[in-house]
Order: sequence, then structure tokens, then C-alpha cells
Amino acid sequence: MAYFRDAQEADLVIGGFLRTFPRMDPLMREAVGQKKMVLKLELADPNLLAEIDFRQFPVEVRFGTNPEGTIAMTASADHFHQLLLGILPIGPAVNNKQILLRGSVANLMAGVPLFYLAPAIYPFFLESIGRKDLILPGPRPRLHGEIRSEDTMTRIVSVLAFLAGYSLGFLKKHLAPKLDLVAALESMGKGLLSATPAGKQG
Amino acid sequence: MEKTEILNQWSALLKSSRPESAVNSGRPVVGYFCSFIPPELLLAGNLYPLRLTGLGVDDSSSGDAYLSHLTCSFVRHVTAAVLDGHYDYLAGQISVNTCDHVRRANDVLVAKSELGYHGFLTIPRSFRESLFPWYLEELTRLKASLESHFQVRITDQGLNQAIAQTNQARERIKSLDLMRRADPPRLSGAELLTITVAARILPPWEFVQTADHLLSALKDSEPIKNIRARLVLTGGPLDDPAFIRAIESQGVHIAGDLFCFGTRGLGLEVEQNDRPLESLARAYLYQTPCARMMSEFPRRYQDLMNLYRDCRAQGVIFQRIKFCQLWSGDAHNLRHRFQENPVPLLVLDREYGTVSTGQIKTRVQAFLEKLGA
Amino acid sequence: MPILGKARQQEWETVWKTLSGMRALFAGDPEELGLNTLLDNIQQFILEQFRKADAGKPAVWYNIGYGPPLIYALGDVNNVPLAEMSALCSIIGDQADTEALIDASEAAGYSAECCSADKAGIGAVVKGLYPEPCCIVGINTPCDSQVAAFQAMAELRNRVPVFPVDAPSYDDERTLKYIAGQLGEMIPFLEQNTGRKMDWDRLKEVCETINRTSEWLWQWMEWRSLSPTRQPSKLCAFTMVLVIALLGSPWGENIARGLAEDARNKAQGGVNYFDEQVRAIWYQDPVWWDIQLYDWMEAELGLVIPMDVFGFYASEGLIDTKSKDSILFGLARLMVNCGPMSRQFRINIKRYIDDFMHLHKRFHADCGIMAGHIACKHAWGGIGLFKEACKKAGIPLLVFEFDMFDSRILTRKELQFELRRFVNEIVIPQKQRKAGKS
Repeated sequence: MAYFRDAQEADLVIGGFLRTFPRMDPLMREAVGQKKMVLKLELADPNLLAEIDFRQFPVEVRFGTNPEGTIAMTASADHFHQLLLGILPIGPAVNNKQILLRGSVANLMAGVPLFYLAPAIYPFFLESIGRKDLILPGPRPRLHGEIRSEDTMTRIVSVLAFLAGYSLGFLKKHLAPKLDLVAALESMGKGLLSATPAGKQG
Repeated sequence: MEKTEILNQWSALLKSSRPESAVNSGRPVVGYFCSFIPPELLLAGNLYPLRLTGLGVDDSSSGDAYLSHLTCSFVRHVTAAVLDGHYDYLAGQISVNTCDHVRRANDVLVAKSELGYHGFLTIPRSFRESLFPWYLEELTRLKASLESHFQVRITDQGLNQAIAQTNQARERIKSLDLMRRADPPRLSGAELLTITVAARILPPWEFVQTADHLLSALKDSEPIKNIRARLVLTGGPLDDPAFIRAIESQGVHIAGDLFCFGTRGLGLEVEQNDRPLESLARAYLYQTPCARMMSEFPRRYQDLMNLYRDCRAQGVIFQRIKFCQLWSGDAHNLRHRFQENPVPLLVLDREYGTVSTGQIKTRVQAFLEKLGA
Repeated sequence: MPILGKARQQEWETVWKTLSGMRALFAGDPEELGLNTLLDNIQQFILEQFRKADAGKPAVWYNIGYGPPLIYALGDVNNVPLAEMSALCSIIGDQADTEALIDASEAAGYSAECCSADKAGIGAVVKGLYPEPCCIVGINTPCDSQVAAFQAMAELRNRVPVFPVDAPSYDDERTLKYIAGQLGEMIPFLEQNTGRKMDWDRLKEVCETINRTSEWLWQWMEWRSLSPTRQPSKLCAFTMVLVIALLGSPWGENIARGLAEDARNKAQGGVNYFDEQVRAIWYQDPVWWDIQLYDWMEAELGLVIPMDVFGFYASEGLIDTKSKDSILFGLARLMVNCGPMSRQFRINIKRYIDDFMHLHKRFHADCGIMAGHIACKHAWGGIGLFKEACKKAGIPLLVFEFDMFDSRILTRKELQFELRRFVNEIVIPQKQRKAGKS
């Protein structure tokens, strides 16, 4: 089944989501472990070519170009959409060849956490552009095994972040349906930047 | 006979893949690949031992086709020489597990050549005494195989006789080497290589006879003058004097060598006793080790340093044929050793069958400038 | 990412972080038993290496053709295969690190023509990535590059005792007894230099572990011989890793069992995620500088590699543990007749060709792919006879030059071009012609 009629629609939806990434910098760059790399996306049916350039600050997203990229993902637009929703976890998607990867394994693993994060944000983005119809129902399988940090502070902050996220979700669902999550994440990113010694990441 | 006449005669011998003494010897000629094959064993069976070379063979295409262009050009040339009929007088060949290239050449020769006899030895990779019986057993099996195929008997008496003959040849080479090593020298490095390769083509008694004439002629010959630097040449197999001539054309004198086809690889002086096969085995196994011997770099290095000192050399040139991993590994080890014990070193890679004279001259020139010579 | 709470060299931390990420990622796919078991046990092995190194336990270095069973039997001694970082950086680390290690070895004067597995290993030695050895052991198989690498290791640590095993180029009982005798000689050498006594009961247990591992590997191969082969092609080559680093250990046994059970599960109840069009025996080094290429081969070309030369584990027999002699004999036979590449290349080229023909038939292959690792002189030297044999047998054979750890020799694009052309223009049309005739 095709979620997108044509390349224009894919650009509006998936492309539109990717275009929010610069606003969520430096969160996105944190997600990839500050790795200076270019993630190339090659989607088909319909076609969409994009690059997310983590070497720039803020992160730059470009469309329609054809560079090599540090790492690359090739998939159908439908599978990529499912990936962003979290319906298709990236691990099985790679193993079942629904997503093909290219590049050094270390860099690929650096890019993977984007797809742990995306399912928390993408549905809200779809809602914000009036495409609730693309939020597919169904179970959300586990995206990965346990990732246990050895660092105590990371574990504490993760719990607090979970609580903050839950609070946001609760607010959005029950009290403020028009809450712009991307804006909230953008502010969080700005806060993160302001607090860092250099005042600026990258 | 004059020095020049003898050396020209031997030079012509090297360039021919059909040496008259072999072709017309009336004995089965058995080619062999490696210094671990004692020619004495063949001589004692009234066979003609001929160290295989690719000199005089320009086209290695058939060797390239079977062995690919990614293998040793020496081995490809020899293989092509056999396949293309340059060695059509050979009754057989003996290979050794010297290296991957020789092993695969043996596979091709067994599968594709018209040779009637194929022998193969595997030689231990270390001087550990416990491995010696294996090599002795290999020689014993080779002896039996030669006897069976060629319907000959290789007796202890025959072996001792052959040993005596080749010891004489060794002794002549030593004397000639001293002439090369002298200061001033009476033989160049290129000339000495002509001699040592000839010693591997000719039967020892023929070689000794002519060598005696040469030694006599050298006593009164003009020494070599205008030497800018005395160097030692080491590395992998080298049978082409043109390579050394290119080096020496820059005023270098190769005062000593430690490579196969040179003074290395002839075996140590073989003891004559009632166990001649065992004597042969000891003399050939425990000679200056080549790079295939896994735990013997320290010994090879020491032999090189002894030679360096004895030749009063000012530097070392290391040469190897491209794609030879064994000798390239040795170059690395020498470089490492020379970090602790600085000795000027020039490493030259080459292709068998061509001598890149221009390149060699340039590199040697630069090396001499570095030496301040 | 620290290992055991300590900061390590960048290459190790990258490997550790990537491996941890991969374990987390693929743990989310419970169907992927083979891959998960592999990652889990490799991580356990690395952890154990660091634990031993941190505790100052003796370390023994060795080259590719040698295996770890005797070292495992000594107890808490660290077994360090020279090519460990070569494999780890490429497969579960940063390929750029592998290439940097290769460059480091060449900058130190090591030959560019030697095998990149050894080059990267020498680079790791130069950079001090391995715990210092108390001794170095090795063997001349499978190739000249091993002989060179052994000597380079010995030179770079030239005050450390060395013990090489000589493996002749024959395949007979005399040869195996000769090698077994040397393994017996090696034991006092290891005891003296590690300060550990050989425990023959523990060696017996190690051999029994090997026997179980062998049984699992043979089962695994059986399941992979079925068509379609649903277990991914990229898992095919890991027997080599197991044999070099883990044979005789519980991790090795776990990996073999995991691969076998995974292959069985997929064969019996798996889903076809792509259409299998062509089955090839990949008859030389795998593409470890970009293992994702195997996924591309399957997805885009329908090209499956049911077996390759690194994966093939010959059924030469189990180790008879009834006596010390039989144990050493069994270990010798394992090392030179079952170890991938040592088996195929140690003797004459006929073994290499015969094994290919056997695998071609057993795994119902349509063709062969000789990915010619450029340093493999023992393979390239047999290429003419190999091509002739395939031609006589009517087996399409693709041959190209490349390097298993260095992506600069043949790029991904060039490799894809070769494979695409071979599959689409040679193999599939031939299959169709044959199908048309029958």
C-alpha cells in the first residue's frame, strides 16, 4: 500500500519532517553523538533524495542532491514512513532488507538513535500539518534492547526526561491539543546550547 | 684464458635457456627451483642438476595467464620458459614449498607441462633441531623417488663424490668472492654474480676447471678503481648481473652479497662422512636462512652485519621482486633493526626480466649523496 | 565509551561503542538469533580480554593460521590474534580506523603487498593496541603473508620468545603427526613463558567444546545448503573469526549453536524477504569493509551466498580425547585441515578446486565468485587452473581484484557493477537457457 501519492506528497510529509531538524539542533546532533557526518536518504516509490548534514551548525537538510554521504539509507518511502512512526523498528528492518544501509558501521550506529527518537516526534509533526491520517494504528514494537548507561547522572536525567516527556504528552492530549512539540524541542535545544560552556555546539 | 674471455663465456651461458653443457651432457637434466635442493643428490644419480632461471626469456605470457600478474615475475618467467618449450630438454623438475608463488608454479607445471618427473620437497620453517629429521626424511624420499623414476642408484659413495666436487666449487667461489671483497677489488659485484649463477648451471667439475683459470687470470688483472662506495647487496633471488651493473655504474662496488643465486644458497661446506645424506641435509638446512624461515631473521641479520663488517661496507642495498611478501617483510624488519643500529639502507623493488636502469641509477645516486660519497 | 570503567584507546572505544549500539539495536529483533548470539559472544570475549589485560595476565600473540585451543587450556592467559583489530574495526567499528591501521603499518615500513588483515594487525601493534606479549606463537599457514607477519611481530617485540609451527604442504598422516609433535613441543614453551602449567583435563574440556562446536557448525552448513537460504549471506563468513579467536571457548560454541539454530529456524519457518535468484559460492575473502553489501546483493540482485571459503568448515573428524597424543593429533588436523584457507591453500591447488566443486554441488550453487583479495598470492597463483576447471564444469566464474579490509582497492560502486553485470548478464541468462532446455 502506498502512503504517498507522488513525490510531491513525500516531499511535503517526509521532507517536511526532515526540514524541522535544524530547529531541533543541537538535539539532533546529540542524537548522533556529535558525529560530523552526512546521512543520505534514498527513498523510492515515490522518490525522495535528501541529505542531513551534521557537519554544519545548525544541521543542514538538503534535497535532490546526489552526493555519496558518510552513511546512506535506501528504502521505499512507505518503509521509511513506518520507520519514523516506530511501527517498523530499524533493527528488523535492516535484517529483513526493508532498509539497506551503506557506510562504516560505527557511523551507521551513530545515526541509528535518530530512529529511536523519531517515533516520539514524527506523529506530532504529522498532526501539526493536518496529516493525522498518516499516523498508522497498530502495535509499536520495542525499538531496541536495553541500553544501560554506566553513568549514574545519565540514568537520573533519563528518568527526569521521561517524566518531562510524559507531562508534555499528557498536556497535549488532555489540555493543549495545539501544543507544538517541535517548538518545545527547539526551545529545549536552545536551552541546551545556552548552558554549554562554549555557548554553541559544533 | 683471460678474465674477460671467461666472463663473456659465462655471461652467454646465463642468457641461454639451453646451456650446451646441459643439453649435450647425455644425462637427464633435472631443473630445480630452490637452494634447499642439494644438487649433489642429483649428481650422485648421474643426473644433471640445473637451477631454473628465466634469463633469456622475454615473454612470460603463459606464466602470467596461469599465475596471474599478481605473482612473482621470476616464477612467472620460469613457468613460461618451461611451458613454452625453452626447457624442452628437461627430464623433470623439483620444486620446494619456498613460497606460495613457487608452490603454485609447481601446480601449473605438474598440470600443464610435458615434463616426465615432478619432485616436491617441503622444508621446515625454523632451525629447531627437532625439525631436522623431517628435512632428512624429505631428502631420503626425494632420493628414492629419483632412483625409482630415473632407474638409478644413489649410493653413499656417489654422494660423497658429488659432495667433494661441489665442495671444490664452493671453495673456488669463496676464493673468487675474496677477490671481489678485496680492497681494491679485482672482480665487480656483477661479475661475481655471473660466476655464481654459472656455478648453478654448470656441473661442478666444469665450473672448477674454468674457475681455476679465472683465479689465475685475476692475479695479474687490473684492480677496479674509482669506487665511490662499498656496499653490500642483500634481499630476494637475483640472477641477472645487469641489475648489479646498473648499480655499480654509479661508482658503487658491491663488495659482498647475501641473496639467492649469489654467494648465499650454495649451502655450507658439506662434511664428508659415512652419512652423506645427513651431511647434505645439515649443510643445506642450516645455511644463511632465507626470508621463508620464520624464526631466523636474527640469524640472517647477524650474517648480514658480519658481512657488512667484513666487507668494510658503507651501506646496504636491499632488493626484492615485486609481490614477494617474504622479502618485503624482511625489508621491514631490517628497517626496524636499523633504527637501533643505524646502517644506511636503500630498498629497491624490481620486476624480473627488466632492469629499470634509469630508475636504479637515480636512486643509487641519491643514496650515494646521502652517504656523502 | 569506556570499557570496564576505564578509558581506552580511541579504536577500542569506537569498537566497544559500536558493538554496544549494535547489540541494543538488534536485540530489538528477537528473530535474529544468529546475529545477536554473534555480537553478544564477541562482546564477552573482548570484555574478557580487557579483564585479563587489566589484571596483568600473560598475553600470547599469534597469527591467523594458528588457533587458540592450547592457549585456552592454560587458563587465564590472554589470546591475541594479530588480525583482531583488522576484523573488529571493519565489521563492528569504524572502517576509517582499519584503513588508518593499514596506513600506520605501511608508514612503519611494512609492505603494502602483504595481506591487509596482517597490515592492520601490524598497525595495531605499532599503535600499541594489544596487551604486550609474553611470547609469540604461529604457523606458516595459510600463506606467505603469515610468514612475513609472524616475523614482523617477532621483530617489533624482538626480546620476546617465539615459536613457529611448520606445516608442510602435504595432506597425509605423516604430516599431521609432524605438526602434532610440534604442538607437543610448544606446550613447555608456553608453560615457561606464560608461567602457567598445561592442565590436560582442561585441554580435554577445550577439545570437547571444540567437538560440540564442530557439530554445530556442520549442522549450520546443512541448514544453509537449503534453497532458499534465508539466513543472511553476511553471516556466512564468521567461521573464520570463530576458528581464529574463539575455538575451544564457550563463546565459540555459543556462536556456532546460535548460527545453527538461527539457520534452522529460518529454514523451517522463515519469511522470504527477497526473491532468491542466484546462489553463488563466494570463493575468496568476504567484503568486510562494507558488510552491508551482502544485504544489497540479496535485496537488489537476489544474489545469495549460501557458503564461502571463510565459512566452510570441513568435516575432517572430531578430536579424539582419549590420550594426549590423540588430542594433539586432532588439534593439528583441525588447524591445518579445517581452518578456513589453511585447508584450501596449504597443499596444491587441487584441494582449493575440489573444495569449490564440492561446495558448488552441496549448496546448489549457480556460479562462483572469486573476490580476489590482492595479497592472496596462493589464490591468485592458482587462478589459471581454477578458471579452467570451472570452464570445464560449465560453472560461470566471476573474478575480480579487491581487498577485504581496504575499500580503496575496489570501491563499492565498482564491486556492485561487477556483481550486477555478472548476475544479470551471465548467470541469470544461463539459468534461463538451462531451464528452457529442461
